[in-house]
Amino acid sequence: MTAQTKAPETKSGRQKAPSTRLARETIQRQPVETAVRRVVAADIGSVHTRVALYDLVEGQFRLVGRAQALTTAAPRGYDVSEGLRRALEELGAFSGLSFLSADREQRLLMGEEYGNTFIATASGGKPIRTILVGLMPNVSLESGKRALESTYIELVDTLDLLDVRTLEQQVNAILRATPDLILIVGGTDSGANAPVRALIDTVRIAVQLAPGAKPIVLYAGNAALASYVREQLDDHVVLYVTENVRPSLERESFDPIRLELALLYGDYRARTTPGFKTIQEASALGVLPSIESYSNIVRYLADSKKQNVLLVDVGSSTVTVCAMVRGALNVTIRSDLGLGHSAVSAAEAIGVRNIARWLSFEPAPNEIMDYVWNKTLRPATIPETSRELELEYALARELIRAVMQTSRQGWQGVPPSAPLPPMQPIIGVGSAIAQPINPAIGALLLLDALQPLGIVDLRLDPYGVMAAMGSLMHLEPLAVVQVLETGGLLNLATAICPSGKPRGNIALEARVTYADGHSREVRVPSNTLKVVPIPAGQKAQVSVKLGRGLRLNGKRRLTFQAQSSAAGLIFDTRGRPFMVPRELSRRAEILPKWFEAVQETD
Amino acid sequence: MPYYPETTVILGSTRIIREYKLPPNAIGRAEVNNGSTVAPDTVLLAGAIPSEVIFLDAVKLLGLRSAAQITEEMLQVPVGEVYESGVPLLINGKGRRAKKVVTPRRARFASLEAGRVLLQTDPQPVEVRALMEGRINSVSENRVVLETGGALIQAAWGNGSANYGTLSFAKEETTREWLGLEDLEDSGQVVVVEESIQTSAVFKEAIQKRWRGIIAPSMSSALRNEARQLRIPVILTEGFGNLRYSAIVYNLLETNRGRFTTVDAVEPSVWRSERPEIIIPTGPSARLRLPETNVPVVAGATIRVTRLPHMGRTAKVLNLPESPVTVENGLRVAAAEVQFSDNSEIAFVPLANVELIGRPLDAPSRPQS
Repeated sequence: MTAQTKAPETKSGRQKAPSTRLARETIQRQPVETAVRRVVAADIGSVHTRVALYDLVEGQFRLVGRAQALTTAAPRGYDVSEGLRRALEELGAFSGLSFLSADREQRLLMGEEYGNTFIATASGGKPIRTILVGLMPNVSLESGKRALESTYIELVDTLDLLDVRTLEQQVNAILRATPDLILIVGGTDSGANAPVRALIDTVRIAVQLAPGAKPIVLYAGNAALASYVREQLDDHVVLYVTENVRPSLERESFDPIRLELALLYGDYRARTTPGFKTIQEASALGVLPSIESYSNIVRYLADSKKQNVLLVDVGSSTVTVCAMVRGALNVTIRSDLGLGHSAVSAAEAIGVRNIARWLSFEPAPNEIMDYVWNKTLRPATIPETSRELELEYALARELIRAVMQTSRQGWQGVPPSAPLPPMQPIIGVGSAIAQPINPAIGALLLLDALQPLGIVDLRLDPYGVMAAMGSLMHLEPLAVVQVLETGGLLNLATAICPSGKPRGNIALEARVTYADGHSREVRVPSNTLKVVPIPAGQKAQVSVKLGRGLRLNGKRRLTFQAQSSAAGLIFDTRGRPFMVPRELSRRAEILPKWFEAVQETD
Repeated sequence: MPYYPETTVILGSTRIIREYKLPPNAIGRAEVNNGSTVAPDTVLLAGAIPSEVIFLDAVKLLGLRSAAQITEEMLQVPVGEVYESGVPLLINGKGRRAKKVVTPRRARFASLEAGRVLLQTDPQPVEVRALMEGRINSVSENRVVLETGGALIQAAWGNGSANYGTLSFAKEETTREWLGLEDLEDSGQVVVVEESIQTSAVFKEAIQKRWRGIIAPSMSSALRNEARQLRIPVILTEGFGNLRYSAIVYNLLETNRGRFTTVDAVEPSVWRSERPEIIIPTGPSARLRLPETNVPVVAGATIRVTRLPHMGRTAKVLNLPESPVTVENGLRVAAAEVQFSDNSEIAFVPLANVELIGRPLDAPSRPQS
């Protein structure tokens, strides 16, 4: 489930914060027996700092309260712990518990002596500017890139053996790039040393000459050169050394480097973000990147049900996909995509025309770019007019599509152009999806962007449970299981998504039989959506008969059980794949219909 | 529970404390002393940004076969110092046939290793000026803090430049037709453009008429690169698109017509705390109050709305309902019930879309005795 690595000791290890060392030791020992009874979890995003309280209720861990405040990192303030205090103050008011000292200092009352366990994750903040140094582009560099996908970085340059730049040019490139992190990979454990030594020398020259703050260096290359790396770099930089990410040509080893990157992320943020260290020291595990937590939960859900699982997080500064596909974990973070901080780079990457195809109106010249620029200037604001909300949802759909395209490049055995393989469940995170006008709109955004096939459970994480639970898994896996099984995630909808192209007026007929015995018939026309609610706490048996051109899991008739959910059953008869009409007049007709269809229940 | 929105300071009279730093890659020091009074063109910090690194192959230049053949005796000058162009760093042999490694241009001799000489070439000088009158109240090696008083308007976007001049309005400049101003003459003016900038004609006019800065409510985002290429500051008080001035901003500019004005059009970054600002300094005064920041929104507070349909309007908070409110597009959100200053209309606005302005409109700028 989690990394079982032992990072080699480094001289620079002495420089690290106690919380980091604790985190490393705790994670390596996990799972451990703990006396965890009450958990306070915080997730620091770019816009919001969310806190949640988990406690034992009738012998089971439950989510019992939550609160949020604006994150107080720049430009809003200077101390990120201030936002946490505000959120904790609110949580305290709800729960009747004290999480802050009553004096002016408002110390965090966290830890065993206060009867709680505090864990913290973060996804916000400036991505770590990273240079990747390795031997061969298709071998070690590729492994290095995949490892870096597990944390919040911006890759600004790469150096490798095929680099045509001179040593002088490479050193200048490193100096100009002013990286926060240099990741050195390369060389199999029994491979040649000389080329890797040359790369290490290049890095040493650059960091020696760099004015001001020196970058962090993480070495995950040929293990035989670990002592040479320490000799060359330890006096100049904060150095992390971990196991080789590519110990042999045939084998990649991601767990050790991902763990090291997770810890390094906390240390980097503590060095660069005022107030972060206070949180890091109060947390039982330091501050882990949210994505590390997502990975733990997605892996847990996939392993426990032996199914593929997909999580999509649409944030302000990053968009993340965490997918367990055919037993392999795939993590993709796009720091150039986001609905707030990264809205401009997102629109530039996606293209204005692709955003406009989800609009029922013709945007004015520059309207979309003006909109995203204003979002970047004021990322915490929300759309208040219908026109701006439509723009926001259009951008959200395209962000998901864009990050999925990147992610699917790395899915083993699933061609990127093939339909989305069965996923159970699909989890949406982020305020655009998790807090829309109506839960069904969140479902519509996921269906539009992902175009899943078959019968899919859609879930939402409106309370930041995924980030907290993923961290808690290191301390108390049982608590995580209990929270997830008692509604920690919101059951959003069960979507019925046939493949093929509907032919004929009626695409689908269904009979929904509720637990109390009564039933209803549903006839769904082609190219639309239809919502049928299932009352809270109930289950229903659903029998589906498909019209011409459509199949569900390869069949024309199917019966299955569905649970109650916020939106209910969503019959999606648009076929797969479906395209949004190019003509504005058709779009203006069809998009509002889809929007209305998922909000109508009869 | 209290909600802490962002604060965008828009105050007619406040205490202003600003920190000045050299760029992060520069090496330099402060040029002023604590307690000194400075003028707009006073250099507060000066230094240099190291330029490119160049490598010289000493083995080849000295006519040697390997790096091991380089001896202490060949080294002519200490490592780590800056040398002018043409200075011999290493010499092998004597007389006219001696082989030399010479600085190709002014450079710092960074190191000699593995048969290579590493030089950091001629550093680029950099200066940080005060841009306004004030008093220095803190100095460290690469950081100076200046204090003054006056009007302060924090803006939405800037093009990365800074300057100062006399505050004037484009409308009156057009009617004046720049009588007596030659093309090459400095207008000395920071010009308030009345309308949103939707074409680059304003930039051409600014260049032709030698404006020292442009203040506009908004601009088409398509003109961003052109604005960044201008040498004078361009500052947008509201944002991108076709947005009009907030009444509070326009009125403040108008009441300061003809006054000395500093435009610090820093390009905002979501990861930095610096914001573009218009400062109309009146000099330091201990009697002025600092703006209130990091305070919660409460009933009676003056807020400004940051999104359409009420973008830029100021209002007084009447009530903060505990339950979410449904807004125009159907979203249910935490909201404030406000009364707008311009027409007394009452409406709900999402808390996420309000900002404080540094102090309630009716609050005094000086502490009450």
